[in-house]
Amino acid sequence: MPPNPDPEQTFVQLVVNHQPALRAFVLSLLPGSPEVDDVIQETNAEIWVKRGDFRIGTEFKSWMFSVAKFKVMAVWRDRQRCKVWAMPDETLMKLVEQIEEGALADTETRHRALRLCVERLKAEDRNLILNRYIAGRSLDELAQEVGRKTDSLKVSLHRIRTVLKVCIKRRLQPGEVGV
Amino acid sequence: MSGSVKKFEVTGMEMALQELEAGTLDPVRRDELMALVSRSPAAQRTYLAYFEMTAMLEAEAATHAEQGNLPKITGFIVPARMFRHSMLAAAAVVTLGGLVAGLIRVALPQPPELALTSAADTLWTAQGDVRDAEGKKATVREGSTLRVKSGTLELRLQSGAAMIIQGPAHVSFPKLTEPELRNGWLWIDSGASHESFVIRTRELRIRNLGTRFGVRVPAEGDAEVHLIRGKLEVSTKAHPENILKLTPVGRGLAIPAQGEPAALNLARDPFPGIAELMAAPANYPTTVRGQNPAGYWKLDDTADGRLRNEVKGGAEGRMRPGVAAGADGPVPAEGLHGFGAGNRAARLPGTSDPPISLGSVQRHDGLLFRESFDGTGPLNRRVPKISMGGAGWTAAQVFSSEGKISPGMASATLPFEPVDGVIYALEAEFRDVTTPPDQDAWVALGFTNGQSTLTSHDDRFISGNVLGRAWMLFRGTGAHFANQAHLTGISAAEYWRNWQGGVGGDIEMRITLDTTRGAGNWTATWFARRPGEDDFIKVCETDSLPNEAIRSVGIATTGETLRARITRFSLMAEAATEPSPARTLADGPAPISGRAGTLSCWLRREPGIGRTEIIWSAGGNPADDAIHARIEADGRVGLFIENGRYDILLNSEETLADGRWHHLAASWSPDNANLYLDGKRVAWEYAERGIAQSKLPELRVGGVPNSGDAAPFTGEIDEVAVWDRALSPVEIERQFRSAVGSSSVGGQIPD
Repeated sequence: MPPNPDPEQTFVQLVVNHQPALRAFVLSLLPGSPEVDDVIQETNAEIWVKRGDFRIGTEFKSWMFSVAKFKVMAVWRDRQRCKVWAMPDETLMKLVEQIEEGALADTETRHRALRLCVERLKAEDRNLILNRYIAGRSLDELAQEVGRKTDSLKVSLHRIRTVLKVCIKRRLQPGEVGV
Repeated sequence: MSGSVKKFEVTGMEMALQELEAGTLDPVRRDELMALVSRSPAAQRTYLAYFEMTAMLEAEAATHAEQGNLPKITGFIVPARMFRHSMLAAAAVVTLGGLVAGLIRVALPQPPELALTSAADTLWTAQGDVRDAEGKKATVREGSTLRVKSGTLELRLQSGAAMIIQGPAHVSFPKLTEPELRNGWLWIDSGASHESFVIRTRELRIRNLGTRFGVRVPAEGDAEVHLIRGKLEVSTKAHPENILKLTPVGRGLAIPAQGEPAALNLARDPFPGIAELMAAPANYPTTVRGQNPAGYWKLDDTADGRLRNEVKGGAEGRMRPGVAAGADGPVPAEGLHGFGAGNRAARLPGTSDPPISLGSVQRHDGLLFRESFDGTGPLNRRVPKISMGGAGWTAAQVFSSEGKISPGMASATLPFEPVDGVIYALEAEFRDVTTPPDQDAWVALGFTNGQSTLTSHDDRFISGNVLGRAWMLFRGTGAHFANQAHLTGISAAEYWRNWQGGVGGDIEMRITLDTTRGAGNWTATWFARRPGEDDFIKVCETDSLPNEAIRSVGIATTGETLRARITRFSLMAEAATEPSPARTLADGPAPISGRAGTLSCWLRREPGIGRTEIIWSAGGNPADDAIHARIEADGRVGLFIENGRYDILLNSEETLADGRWHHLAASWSPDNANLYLDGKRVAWEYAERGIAQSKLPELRVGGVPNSGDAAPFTGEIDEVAVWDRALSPVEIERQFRSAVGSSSVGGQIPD
């Protein structure tokens, strides 16, 4: 009879596996905000503290998102108090509804597909898109480094993202292997 | 961006999303985008899919960077003339296409390699793939291990990122950007390269992006992280899910595998001086500097009584007026080829006043800080009206210069370290401390262990970077709970006693910190009153501090619902002892402690002493000789260390009083003490030392002996250097050999 899995290890594995989804959730609801990393860190810390409340087998991601949602809302509330721009409540709620209906349900699967698609990109495209997303490098910084105008760079990045989107979609069609 | 759902167009939206995530989308288009997302489910899906891909790409980029296979992108500009010529030439259309395609050149990863340079007289060994070792240069490939026995190595990646290893150290490179530090110091500066590093110690995993920082694994105790700039993520191997994010706070951290990090003095950044050190010739000063001293006074230029510290930012020493300066020092003519022909030294006359002060107890007396909150803008970086050394606030954005405290969890602190022999009074006045009904939020005043600008659950005296050591909190009008006094964190809390004033509204709080009974015996007492009342009420009885590592004073706030103003903040010191004449004291404390340290110097003493003389002494205050070196009446040298009931006194068999220059070094650590003469260990003792191993801020050369059977030193002294660790016998030997100028000048040695 196989030994029962260590609940704490299982929990850690769940946290690790869902980090891209958590990041997608927070990035969506705090676009362009410097608090993204803090909210993710605080969410991880809180779900770790409350790990005793979680029953393995129940919907982990929903639980994690609900913790993150309140932290995101606290950030926006702070912004509103400071009279700086905050995402409108209506927009925020609509996005949360979409997520609750499953918009980020398969991030882990899509992430595995994206990993393969990134490897299949042309070397120049792969390095450009990955360098865009390393260390929070801004568009302007990257444009300066590659000696191009920001607008031209945005077009290239959009093109690469489209290639990746198509690739992921194709890989996730029935019959595709390797995901 | 169209406002119509029907005109919704994916490409246009995704281009706008690029600007939104970069924070560059103009407000009008941003509002349009938000309106579109609110109305259109299709736009919501596009929006979420976009950020999902961003999240996945960030994860991929981080993975590639960690694995070291994210090439750096470099661009080159086509000369304008070439571009115009191409345009004019019909045949060049195809060529132009090629040029445009070539505007982005991706530099494929070169075989990973570190370019190694060693400081003069560095001794190091290598295992694995180390090539082209020639003089001070070599190349290091992945899979190599470096051990530095003495001195300093610089390693550079092709990207421009640099590392410095300060010996003694042991570092392995399974990957060049993922070093494993077994012991010693490893510093990293990723510079403009954006190179990402992962440093592993036995207990920690430290990840950086665009950062300058140092990691130290001491022989015993917890690993230390010293962040100069940028950001770090630190996790323990036991709990990888708990990631500690660090930003520079002017302090190092000792991070245990389990439990709370402890604040440390920030280590000196070695990068500003590394080029000079690597280029320096092989001689005695270079060897000493390569061994990373905490203070180094060459005593060359003593004309104005000021003694320059070769360690950048280190305390300048002072020589008492009337002491003979500019005496002949160790020189090649005497067989000491590691010095210049014009090397000078100081001649100590043997008078009763301490001739040379290389460290002095900081004096705290009078008003140290006073802030009246009458400015504008953020409080962060504002310098109070009265401030020690011009120090400014480190404050989260919820604190403003006019004293307004907005909702949030955060702290505002001023750097401050108490010294022994003082009674401090820390005071603040808060007004209109308000919370809605049933909300227990608070404001607080206290002595703490660090500083932070973060708005976070932790850094508000509770835990993390700003942990209260002695502090008190006052709750808002809607609170159920009472006000409290605390010692470390929230582990030792007492509700205010003798207090009938309730919660909320206006309050004055005061904490006295009494250090007059010395380290290990500091106490705190807590007081409060309503403004306008005659006397403070003692709201908590005097209690001993369980942890005296205080690094700042300040205020904190918590709660999403609290509003308050702070109108006054001050720190007053009442010194218990009389100050010494400032003009003969060094301008700061000596950077050594009773726990572990080394002092080395060169001495010349004529024969015929006939009495015991004190060469140098170090202690916690001007009357303290807790550790000192001496020369006995017969010329033998000794080292004395106070050690409770069983003091340590080492004596050499060899004599020093022969009219020639000798190298003298003494080292001590928690379990041994050593005395070296001319590079050889001449006396030692292995013993577990039970004394309070506190700081030794007062360092005097040739001072006033406290014991009646000894006199001040008479003779010449030169090249005084101190370390905050016990140097190894190999390091001491290297010092002496570099002074003699033997044929071996260091470099790689057979492993």
